[in-house]
Formats: sequence, C-alpha cells, structure tokens
Amino acid sequence: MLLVGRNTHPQRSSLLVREVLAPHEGDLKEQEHGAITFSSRYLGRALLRVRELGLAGFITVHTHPGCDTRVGFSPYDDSSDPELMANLYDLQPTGVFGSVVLGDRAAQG
Amino acid sequence: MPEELSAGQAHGKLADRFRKKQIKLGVREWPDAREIHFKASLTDSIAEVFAKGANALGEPLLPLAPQAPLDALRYRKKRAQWSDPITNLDQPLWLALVHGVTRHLGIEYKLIVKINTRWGVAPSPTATPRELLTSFGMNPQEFSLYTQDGVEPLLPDTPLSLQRGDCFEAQQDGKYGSTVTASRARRGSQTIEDDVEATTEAGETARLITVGSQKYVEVRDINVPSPPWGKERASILIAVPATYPSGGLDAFYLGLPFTHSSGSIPNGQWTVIIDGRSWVLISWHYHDSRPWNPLQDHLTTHIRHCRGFFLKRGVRQ
Repeated sequence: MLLVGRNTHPQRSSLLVREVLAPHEGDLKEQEHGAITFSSRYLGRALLRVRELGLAGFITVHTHPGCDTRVGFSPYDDSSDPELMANLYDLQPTGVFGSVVLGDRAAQG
Repeated sequence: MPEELSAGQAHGKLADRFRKKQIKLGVREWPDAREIHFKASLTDSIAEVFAKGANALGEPLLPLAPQAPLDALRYRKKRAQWSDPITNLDQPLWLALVHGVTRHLGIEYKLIVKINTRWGVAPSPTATPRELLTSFGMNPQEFSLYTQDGVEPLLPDTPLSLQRGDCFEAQQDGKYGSTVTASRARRGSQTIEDDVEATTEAGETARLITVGSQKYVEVRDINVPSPPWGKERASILIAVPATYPSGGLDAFYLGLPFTHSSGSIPNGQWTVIIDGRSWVLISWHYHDSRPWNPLQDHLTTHIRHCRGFFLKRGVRQ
C-alpha cells in the first residue's frame, strides 16, 4: 500500500508517496496464483496511518505476474475495485484512494 | 387558540402582529419523563421547535444538523395519549397548532449509531456486529465492523453494548486478481472467451465480435512504427475458427483507413466489411517449420505474431 500526500503545486499538482505500508502476517487473506486479497484489517491499518500522518489517502498495489511491457486490470479487478473504492470514500469522503497494477515493466492505475 | 391563528390558515399567512410572538411549550423525553418548558416563535418550523426542545432537554438530536434527525417528535393528546411521530417538520409552528398539535411535546430519542458516514437506528442495544451491519444494509460477508480507530475487527457474533451516538467503521477486503486464472482451462482446451479475458488482463484492448456464426477478436491500439505506417496505432481483427484452439488462428484483418509509405498495404489482399467497418485481409502466416501449436499458442501469442507484420519481422507471407 502506498500512503500518499498531496503536492498542491498550482501548475503541477500530484500525489507523493510518503510511506510504503508493507503487509504483516495475516494481512493478505488470499495469496495464491492469480489472486490476492488485502484484508480489511490491512486496509483499515492503512487508513489509520493516513489519518495519523495527515495524509491524503492510499493506493493499493498488486502485480500481474507474466505481464511485461503491457499490463491492465483484469475483469475481476474491474468488478471488485469500484466497491472497495466506494467503501474507502464512504469511510473518508475527503480522501484520495486508488489502485495500481504492475507488470515487469509496465503499470496501469 | 386566538382566532387570528385559525384565520391565517385560510391564506397560509400569519398576521403580522404574531410574527415575533414567542410562546411557551413543554417538552419531555418521550414517553414519561418530567416535562420542562422552553420558548419558540410561532413562525419557527417544527424542525426548529424540535431542535430547540432537544436543546432544552440537553440531549441534541441525531444526526446533527443539517442532516434530518432520526429521532422522533410527538405531541401529547387528550387523555395522556401520544400522537404518532410528526412527519411534516417543515410546517410553521402556528400552522401545526392550528392543525391540532398541542404545546406538550415528547422527543423519542432512538438508539442512533453511525457506520462510516451513515447514521441509522440500531436494532437493539446488544446487537451483534453482524446484526448491526445487516440493519445498515451491509452484507456481513463482505464487511467487517471496527470501532472508530480500532485495529482489530469486532467479532461478528459477539453482542455489543451500544450507546446512542456510537461510531463504527465498516471495512471491506480488497480483492484483486483473476477469477478465471485459478480455474482457467488447461492450454489447448480453453475457449476464445478465456483468451480474450487473459489478453485484456495483459493490457491489450481486445473484444469478441460475433457476426453470424463467425467469431472475431478485435484488438485496438496496437503500436506500429510511423513512418512507414501512416498512423501510430492500428486495429486488427482476427478470425476465430469454430474448432479453436485446435484449429489455429491465422492471418488477420487490418482496420481501414490505414496507409503505408509505399502507397499500398504490404501483403494486403481483399477488403471486407465486418461489424460496420472496412478491413483489409493481411496475408501473414506461420512458417511451415513452426505451425500453430494449440498447446503453446493462444490469442496473446498470435497478437504478438501479428505485430511482427508491422515490424517486418518474424514469419513468411
């Protein structure tokens, strides 16, 4: 999980990664080939840390092993991620939340 | 009640001399606490009277303004009976009095709690997290309940000890990956639908088109070198044999309009219209020494093979 803050530069506003929150044991409920589940406890811990540091929000990151220069969200990602994002914005309406998928040399967010 | 109030009902307007008039009202915690008194203007809305009464009792309504309260306001009728909750909170006090509301009010404070940004009435003071989530319309299979700033989820079936105004957070798991990967058919027995999904996961913009009984896969936004090609991105269409994947993919169509610096499309055959667009068939085949292998080749490898055409490398015409 990438915990991010806002860079409010008038011309080039952006998000800056303030901290990488690695999962602890038990934070990944599923971790098998082709699927990963971030536990609600892991996501909640990220949210608490965001609040503690006064950050904007966080970005979830997962990989698609086998993708090299092109990578995209799977239909499963596309079906489940909007619900998670809606949940996060319900928890923190002023937050910034998103997700990124990585290949070996590519990323999509 | 002064006749002027009743007279005002006819034209919906209170006489000017009453506009600044404040009257004494009684309010109690419904149903049988001690009544205390407060004042309200005749022109106050019932919502304002409701809030003033709550302030007089020292227990604010929930949720706080500007949200509409979930608590209920009633009035005492004759023979110590209580009305149903007043639903029209926008009407002015004077008009409510004309309509029969009495000066003796009761506030029904409910067991109101908050989950995330939503307020709701808890089903009981000892509701379990599962029951509380369900009462808020959240599926307990999908959400875990936490106290605010809690790091561990509350046990779903352990009764809570709820207080009015308690705040909780309901958090989902984050699920990523592919539903088909785990159950994906073994190579050589997969469907073209499986392959389109896998190709999409790999970052291609691919979709399946069916024209009559013939299936095609359209792949958009393939990067091609320009020059010699007139555009930097191409769309291709791949015909899928009914026997796929044992029946292999071969050749492809190139979406028109598309140009090449030579003045004609290399390897271009004839033009067809498929799914409302013109396409030119490109003669681009696997080499005899390396034919289609259903245990090894699939849609993604075929797209890679087709890319070789634009890069002038790989296979023979």
